[in-house]
Amino acid sequence: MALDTDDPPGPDAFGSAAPTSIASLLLLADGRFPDGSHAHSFGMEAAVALGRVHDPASLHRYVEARLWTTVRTDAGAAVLAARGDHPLDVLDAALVVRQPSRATRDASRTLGRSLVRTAARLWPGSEPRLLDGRPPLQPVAFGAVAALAGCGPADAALCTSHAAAAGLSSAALRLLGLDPFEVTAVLADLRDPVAAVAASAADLVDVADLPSTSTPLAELDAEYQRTIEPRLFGS
Amino acid sequence: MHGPHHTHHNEVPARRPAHGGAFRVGIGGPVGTGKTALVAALCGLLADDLRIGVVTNDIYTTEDADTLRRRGVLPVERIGAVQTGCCPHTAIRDDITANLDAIEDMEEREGPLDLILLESGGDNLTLTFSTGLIDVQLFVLDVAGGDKVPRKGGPGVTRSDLLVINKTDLAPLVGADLGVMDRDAKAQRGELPVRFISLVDPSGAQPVADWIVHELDHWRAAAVA
Repeated sequence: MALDTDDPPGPDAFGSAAPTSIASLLLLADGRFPDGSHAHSFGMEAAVALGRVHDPASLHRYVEARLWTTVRTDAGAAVLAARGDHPLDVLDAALVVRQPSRATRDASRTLGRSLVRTAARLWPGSEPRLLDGRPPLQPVAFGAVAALAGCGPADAALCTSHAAAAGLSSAALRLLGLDPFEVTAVLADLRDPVAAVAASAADLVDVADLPSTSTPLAELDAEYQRTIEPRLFGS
Repeated sequence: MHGPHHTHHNEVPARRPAHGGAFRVGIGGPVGTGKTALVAALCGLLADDLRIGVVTNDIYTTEDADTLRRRGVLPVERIGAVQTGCCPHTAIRDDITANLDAIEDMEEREGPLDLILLESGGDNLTLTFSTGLIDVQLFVLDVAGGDKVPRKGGPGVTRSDLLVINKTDLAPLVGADLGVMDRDAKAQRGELPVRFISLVDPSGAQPVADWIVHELDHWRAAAVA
């Protein structure tokens, strides 16, 4: 079931983005895409346990803070990987030094592995790996997969920021039993920052310009999450 | 059309093609029906003859691992666990990557295994394993859940390769009629097998162990051919 993305896109009926590219973006952005992320809360399980997130308003604040910090860095890495101008090892190393939490890096590596597994089935032989065979961190793997699927760097950035907002919100919904309509309203309210964060990363070209935006609480939450017993999420 | 007494939709799903790794048995079923106890009993009955690994998707993974370690039926290195993010169903059907990672890691660390028992988190009657993850699947019900459960159907009851009805020792205490459960299960499953067991003594899992060994032999023969 290897996918062929060599065919030229169809008529330019969607403005600047070809329909194939939009279909590819939707495929990757769909929560049902098997990327392993359903089992991760990206720190939300800890944020809920510590009381940082307890209702839709606090969810909104938490997700927006994550978007402009950890997610912006991830989106930048995805953009550079999608561009394909740098070896994956260089991008991976640049992202590693921007993530002080080992728990965060471990979870990201696990999710990168899931993407490699899926890519190996969709594009056999082209799946992204580091020189030593390990999977890249998730944003780097995702950028490479986005390119394989026919998405551009800006698509990879948008998908990264959207998936982060959706993944965090979905975890909060499950952990707190929030009203799904209110959670969807939060996501709707966050469309502007989701797009803005993606836009802020979309033009990255040089690895040296990769943002190093982070937030200590996200790193601390990731470490704390590992101590929760029993925990429901892998991160 | 598809009432509970029609059996024409019991096609067993297509199986994974023969592969070099261990024979993988999925063990699913509702919460509290005895999946972990069955896994422990199966390890006790089969570990002398087969190299077994266990991957559990239960949230109380430490407790399950402790149970298995205490019984001394399996080296603790051969017990793996994955988190399922509140969705035990998703982890064994829609996005099986975490479980595939856990199996791959264990086979790499422990060397070739004969059998992997993959226990799902407790779910409901719609639970079913992806055939991309396992070779055969058991669905475990218990008598205490009520003797009407087989009649309710669902993919676990109608399509699992083996339906196990556990805790038969409790039948008189909860007023469950085993004959009704057997009749309803047969009506739901057609030719697919059912085993009634009680694990008051772990040797009560013998009928399930025998079935697994039979399936394993069959699978190995097919892999050779």
